[in-house]
This record gives sequence, structure tokens and C-alpha cells, in this order.
Amino acid sequence: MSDLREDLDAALRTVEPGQAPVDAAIRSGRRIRARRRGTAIATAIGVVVTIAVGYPAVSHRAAAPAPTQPTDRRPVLITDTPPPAGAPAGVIAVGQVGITTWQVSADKSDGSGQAGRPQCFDVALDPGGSTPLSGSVLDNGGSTDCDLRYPGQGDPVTLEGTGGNALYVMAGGVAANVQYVVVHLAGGQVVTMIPHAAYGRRFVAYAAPASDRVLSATLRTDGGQLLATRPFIQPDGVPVFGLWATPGRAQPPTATVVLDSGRADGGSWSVTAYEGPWGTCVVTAASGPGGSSTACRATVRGTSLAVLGFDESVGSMPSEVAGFAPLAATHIAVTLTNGTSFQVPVMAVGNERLWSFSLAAGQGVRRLTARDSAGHSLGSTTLP
Amino acid sequence: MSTGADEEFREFMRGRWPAMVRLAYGLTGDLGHAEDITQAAFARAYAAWGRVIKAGDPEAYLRRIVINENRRRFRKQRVAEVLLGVPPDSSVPDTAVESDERAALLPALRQLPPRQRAVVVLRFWLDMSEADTAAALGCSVGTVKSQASRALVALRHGSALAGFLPTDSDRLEGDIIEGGLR
Repeated sequence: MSDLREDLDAALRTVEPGQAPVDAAIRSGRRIRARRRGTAIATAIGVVVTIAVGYPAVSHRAAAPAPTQPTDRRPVLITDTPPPAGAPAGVIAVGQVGITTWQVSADKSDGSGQAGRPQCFDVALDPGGSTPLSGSVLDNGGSTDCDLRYPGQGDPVTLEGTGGNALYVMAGGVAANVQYVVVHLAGGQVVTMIPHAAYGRRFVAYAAPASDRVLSATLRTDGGQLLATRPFIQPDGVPVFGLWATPGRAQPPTATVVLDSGRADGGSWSVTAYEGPWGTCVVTAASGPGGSSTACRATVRGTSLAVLGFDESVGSMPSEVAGFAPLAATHIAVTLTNGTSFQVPVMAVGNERLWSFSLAAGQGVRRLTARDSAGHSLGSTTLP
Repeated sequence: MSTGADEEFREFMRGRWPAMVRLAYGLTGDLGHAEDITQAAFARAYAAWGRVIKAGDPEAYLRRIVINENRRRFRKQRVAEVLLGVPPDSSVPDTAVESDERAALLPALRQLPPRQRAVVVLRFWLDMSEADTAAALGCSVGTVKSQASRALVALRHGSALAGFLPTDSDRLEGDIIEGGLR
């Protein structure tokens, strides 16, 4: 008898792969880990925040090359429409950015319709080129993000981004009462997103050139209410839509403060806080392959001790921990899992008070206590 | 990740790269896709290297990631095919494949629909149980049985491969042979 397993084994052994791209895999792995920080941050906020104004919003991006500068200043035509009749289940929007066609689908397999579960999106892109659009093949040039959390109470829309140095795609869930969402781009174009239902939820999506920054976004609810936001633009051009508010409402001031920095792996790293109309975003950036990530909290003013982010160490890069403190706090007392204690100063960033410190590999945080100048405790938390 | 762990990962990837690419090749039938999938799988393993080591069997962990990456790829491809009705790439002979007679299995594998191909590779090459194969592919055991049955029939009748494939006397499980090879 012929053994199919042996024959398959012998046949597949004739396949000669190229050399293992170890460095490329490690770089990608570091980017994945940097992106996961955002998820960890979201969890940490849920556990730790005791008093929060507004709502948390988290976004994250891996390191990517800087947005390419357009060589042609004419605006790129951007379209965004609900899926055509007969489109496969799950497709939530289709459109064009110049000659590039795109399509975004909500993925049912990762928790669509289940609160608190991650939502994946499939992005299909066709770069166009010399191929006629009408006959071109949508290939797998996109990627899947599985990090979106569905809108919660008072949270009209949550958007997550994915993309490269030329184009990015945003997709997300919208609350039941949202009629449409409009994005205003610096190039003058306006993208209107009509929510489309899939698997019991409502979604929107759009694509835009990375070089064409988002100036603002607005949405309208069934009740006629208008909400607006000015997003934080991450280093790679992808926006973070944070604080949605009625026009005219007081917004946080704009401020930028470097919370921590250092050198490792032959490069430099930094932790920088940006406060503005979006709320507060903290960007951890490294000049090496460690990548960068962004964590945001959409608040007008935080008043509590809260951990915004944890960051695993990459290579000889340290782990980073950052967060908010009560307004009267002057320092944070830190107790590590090995029993070591130290203090880190609290820094003013616009209306907020933030702190950050680094940890060597293998170290963990057990307890954080916010203290005022007299040493009184203003709040503490024990970390899981 | 510490420098020691980095080195540990590098050594692991260099050692397991060929086997994982072959697995991905079996699943995809395309060396380019196979290397892409495998690289993505190793990147995911690196991102969770602490957990991978803790799990105790890094190779099994990685194999699972490769299978999942392949599932994601087919999910996306299916959407594109449905939308535009463009036929899949024709199976161009891979220059990396030697002209060994046994390599005739590879073109035959490539001709199979993705799920049948995956069932053949997991079930008959990796020797996974029907239940494990079903879990890995996200389908029922009944589907694994029917897909295996159809795949074996297709392989048997598709080319001059009969000599390599199970016959009635082969000791495959009856429920797979039933309705397929008999």
C-alpha cells in the first residue's frame, strides 16, 4: 500500500523555502506588540479609573514610514458609499481614493454583535494603476484589525485605523441613533459615511490619503443633535477620533510635554503627551524598530489616578508605564512586584496631570499611590 | 524581550522555518503566499514569545498560527472572488519544486479547493484527528469527513496519482472512505 502521509511528506520536502527572514519577522513582531499596547491600555483604564470625565478612547498604530508628500496638489477624488445590492454579507462600505478602490467588511467570526468582544475588519484594496477599475481584482492588500470596541453609552462612534504610508482606512461601529458621520479633510474634500448594518450592528468606514490630514469630523443623530471632534493625528497620519462634543462646548487646551525619554538599542525613545480638543494622547516612540504607539483618553479633564498604558520592553528598550493623576498630586509612589519602591513626579500637561516611568525587563508594578506635596494619599490602586 | 530571548527566537525561527513554509505551502499551494503566511506567523509568535515558551510546545503553537493565518487569507480571498468573479490564479509550476515523481502530488493538491486542501494537509500529513482538524479549520467534524472524502476522490481521479493514493484496502478510517473511495 502507498502511505499518503509519507508521499505528502516527500512531496512537500521538495519545496525549498528561501532563507528565514528573521530580522523582518522580529520587526513585524515588535510592531504587533506595540499595537497590542493599545488593547492593554483599554483594559487598564477599565480596571483602574475611579472617576473619569467623558469616556476612554484608545487607538494605536505601529511605526510606519512618514506619510508621502503628494507630488500633485490637485485633490484626489474620494468616494464612500454603502455596499451595492448583492454585495457579500458583512461588507459595510466601498469607495475610491483616486484610482484605488477599497472595500471594508465586518468580520462575523470575532464577536460581531457581542458587546465587549473584539471586532475584526477585512480591508480589500486594489491599487488601480494601469488596470481599468471596472475590471480590476480586489486583492489582499489590506489587513485586518481586531481591536475595535463597540460604542458604549454616550459614545457615538468608535473608529480604528489601518494603513500604510500612502493610504489609510478607518472602520468602526456607530451608535444606533447616528444618522451619518462626516470627515473634513485638509485637501478640502468632505467624506460622508452612511452607517450600514451587518451582523446586528451598524458600521461606517472610509479611506483617505495619509498625506491628507483630517481637520475635523461631525455627526448627526436622529434627534438632530450635531456632535463634532477634532482628531489627534498620529505620527503616521492616521487620526484618533477622541472627544466628540456639541459645538461650542469648552475644549481642553493644546499642550505638548515630553514625559520621559532615553536611549537604548543604539537609538532613542520618548514618551510624549499631547493634550488638545481630542482629549489626551500619549505617544511612545522609538527611533529603532521598536515602533511607536498611541494611547488616548477622551476626557475634558481627568480627576483621578489612572493608568493609561503599559508597554512591554523590546530588546533593551525599557517597559514604559504612563498615566493620569489627580490635579493636586505632585508625585506617584510606585511599588514594584519585587518590593522596590520609588517616586516619580507628576507633570502638568494642559488641564491634565500625567506621569510616566520606565521599568527594566522582568520588573512589574504592584501598587501606585498618588500623593500631594504634604505626602497625603490622594488615591491608590493595586495592579493585577 | 531580553537579548537572550531574542536569540532563542532567532534560533527557533531558523530551525523551524523550512517546515513551517512547507506546511503553509501545503495549505496554500503557492510558495510566495506560504512564505508570507509563515513570516506573519513567526512575527505573531515573536510578539507573544513569552507565552509561546510558557505553553511548552512552540512548534505546535506556531503551527496553529500558520493554520489561522491561512484561514484569514482565504476569508479575504473569498470576498474578492465573490465580488468580481475573477478566476483564481492558474497553477503555474513552481520553480522551487523538483521534478520528482512524487512532486506530482503538489500540483494535484493545488487543484483542490482551499478547504479540501487544508483537510488533506492537516488530516493526512500532520496526522491530526478529525476533531482537531475540525477545530483548526473552524468547521464541523462532518465537514472534515466529507471534504476529506471529496479531496481523496479528486486526487485519485485527477491525475496519474492513483499509485500514491489510498485504495480500498488502505487502512483509512471507514467513514472517510465511505462514499468517497468505495
